[in-house]
Amino acid sequence: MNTENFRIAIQGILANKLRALLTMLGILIGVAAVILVVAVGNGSSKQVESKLSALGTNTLTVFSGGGFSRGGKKNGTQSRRIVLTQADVTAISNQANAPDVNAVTPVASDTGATASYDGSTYSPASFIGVDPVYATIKNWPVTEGRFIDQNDLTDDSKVVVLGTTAVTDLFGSTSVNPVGDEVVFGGTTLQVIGVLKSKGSNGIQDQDDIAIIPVSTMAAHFTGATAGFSQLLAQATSANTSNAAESEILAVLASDHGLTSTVASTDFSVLSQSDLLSTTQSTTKTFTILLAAVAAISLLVGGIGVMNIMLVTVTERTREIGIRKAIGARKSDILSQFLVEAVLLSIMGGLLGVFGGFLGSHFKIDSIKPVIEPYTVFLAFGVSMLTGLFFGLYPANRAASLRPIDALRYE
Amino acid sequence: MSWLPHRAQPDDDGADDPRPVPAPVLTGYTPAPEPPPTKALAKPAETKPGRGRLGSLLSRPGAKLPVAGTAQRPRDVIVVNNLVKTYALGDIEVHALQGVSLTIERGDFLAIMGASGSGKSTLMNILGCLDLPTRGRYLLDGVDVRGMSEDELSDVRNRKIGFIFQSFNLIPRTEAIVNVELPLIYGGMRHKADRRRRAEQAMKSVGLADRLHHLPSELSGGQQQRVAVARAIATNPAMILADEPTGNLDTKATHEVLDIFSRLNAEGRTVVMITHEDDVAAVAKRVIRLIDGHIVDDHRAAPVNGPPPMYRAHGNLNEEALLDQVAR
Repeated sequence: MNTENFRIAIQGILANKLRALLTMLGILIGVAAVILVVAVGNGSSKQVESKLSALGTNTLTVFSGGGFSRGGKKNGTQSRRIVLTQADVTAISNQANAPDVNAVTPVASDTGATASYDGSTYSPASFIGVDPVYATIKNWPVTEGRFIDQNDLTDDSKVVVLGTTAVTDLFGSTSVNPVGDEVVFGGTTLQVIGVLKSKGSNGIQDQDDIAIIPVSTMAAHFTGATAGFSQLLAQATSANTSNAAESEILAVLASDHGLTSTVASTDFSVLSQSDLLSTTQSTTKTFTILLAAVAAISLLVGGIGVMNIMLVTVTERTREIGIRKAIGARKSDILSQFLVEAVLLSIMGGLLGVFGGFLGSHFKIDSIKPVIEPYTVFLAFGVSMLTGLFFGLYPANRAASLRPIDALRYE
Repeated sequence: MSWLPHRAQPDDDGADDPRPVPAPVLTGYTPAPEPPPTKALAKPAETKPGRGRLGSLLSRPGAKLPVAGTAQRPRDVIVVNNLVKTYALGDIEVHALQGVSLTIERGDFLAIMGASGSGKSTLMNILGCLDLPTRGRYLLDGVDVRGMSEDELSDVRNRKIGFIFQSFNLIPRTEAIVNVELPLIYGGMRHKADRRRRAEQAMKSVGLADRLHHLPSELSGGQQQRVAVARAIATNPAMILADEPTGNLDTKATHEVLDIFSRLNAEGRTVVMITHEDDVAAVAKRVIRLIDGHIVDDHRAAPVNGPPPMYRAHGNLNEEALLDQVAR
């Protein structure tokens, strides 16, 4: 290609700076959007990953499966709800039954409990009864006072440990030290013995919106002795034994409840932290792909903008094309002049878009720090270049195919 | 101005120029150079060899050189035989040219006259290889342009024809010198320095050496037309083809441009000029009149070998006499 066509094309762009800039803006936004959206998705999954791994990948949560019994499936006349009981906890705690389980605690929850203190009322998102080992499994220390201990458990002590959100809602501010104060929960007066360290959101809910009491107190004063537990929280001896611990727990529960172990997996489910991780990540990935597709469409729209402007340019410069042809420009000269102009427009837009993407990634978006994936930079830039080539081809070809006699006559 | 006195003077650029530049070194009036047609096609050394403009022109089967029946003397730049051009305007057939035959010798200064609708613009388009005839033969500098592809026609226009238009047709927002360089760029002249030197010489020969970097919008109409003339002669074409070159100019600028045409012709260049004004045609050596697609009059005012009429009449161009004539 004649290198002079480059210079001519650059002159063409410079002749209409504002228009060129606006055209580039379309490509710029598309490229920057693709890079940023993927970066935010990437950043969010990195953030969830680090939060979950801070909790420990060896944590297992046991749910009773969905609340429907085998009986219901059998003949439809009798329904027996399978509940998790203290006997299950004791059986799992037994090293002989489940050697890979390090610790286990019941989690009994009472929904709809309302707390009040000095006129202010508050309904915690989670109001749960647990064993003292809960704090160890969750790796959740207190910042004030202490956590529930074994004595509280044996005495059914009327004590409560609050999350920071609960403290704010009841006492008006986190700076207040509520330890020693008494809070009324659904008619039962509980003494605050500790405040948990703030954990923030796990991406789904506020983890600090919580009030914790001994599981025995929960049974004695709130849910009743026969209610059982909604969850068990267990800790495997290490991340590597988490799968073994999971099957041991399922086996123990099956024998406890007189089920065959194949059926047990439908009556109880065990969710490990790594399951949670992969679930969250696949959700994030789906959203990222969706948003990246929207961003890619904006890149396409930018490309159409380039084509639009090139068509206008060709029409506007029909006479110039005629002059160039009259003094000896070949088809290929005109073609490359306009093609180079279109590609230069989109390359410059693409470069500015990459720059914009890097700039944008320095800002936190909804408390997520975007992490740029290097491949998106090359992809977005490459696509922007191809966009210019693709959408520039038609207008350039149209210019090159003009008959000089018609082009010269054009007014 | 070095070009005003018409005795031979070495171009002041020539001294520091390491190699002879074939193109518009203007050395006053010399008899028309008469290379054989094939020679006239020879490329200057610095043209890009890869483009093969010359090669493609000579080797293509349609490019028959002097053909029996239309024997072309080496002096002839243009031989046109029984040219017919018919347009279809909707259902109506327009016969713009109805059998035009014409031979233009090298070094001639021809004015083609006619009212609008006489077919002179059609003839100009065909002579300029912007359009192809419906029937008839057209040999330009020995090359038959029938059946040429679009790119081949581009090459012919680039190498053999220098266009000058009524509305100047400079590329807007582009410096005068770059406008003059354009045909050299499209001709494949690679080295910027060579191009620039040739373009500067062309600009100097039209008296605009001090306007190289002006934009067309910063130049007067007369100056713009002189830039167009410089662009037309930059490639040293076989023929300068001017379509109503003075149509948009005032009398002073008209005088300047016609003055340049006379001088270029006196230096041996073939000039074909289309006009409808008698006083403009008066500067030509030969005047042809077209009516309804036929040549009705072919008048020779001065011999091909001599200087053009205005040039001869006044020795140097006499401004007052020409202005007087233009004013009439």
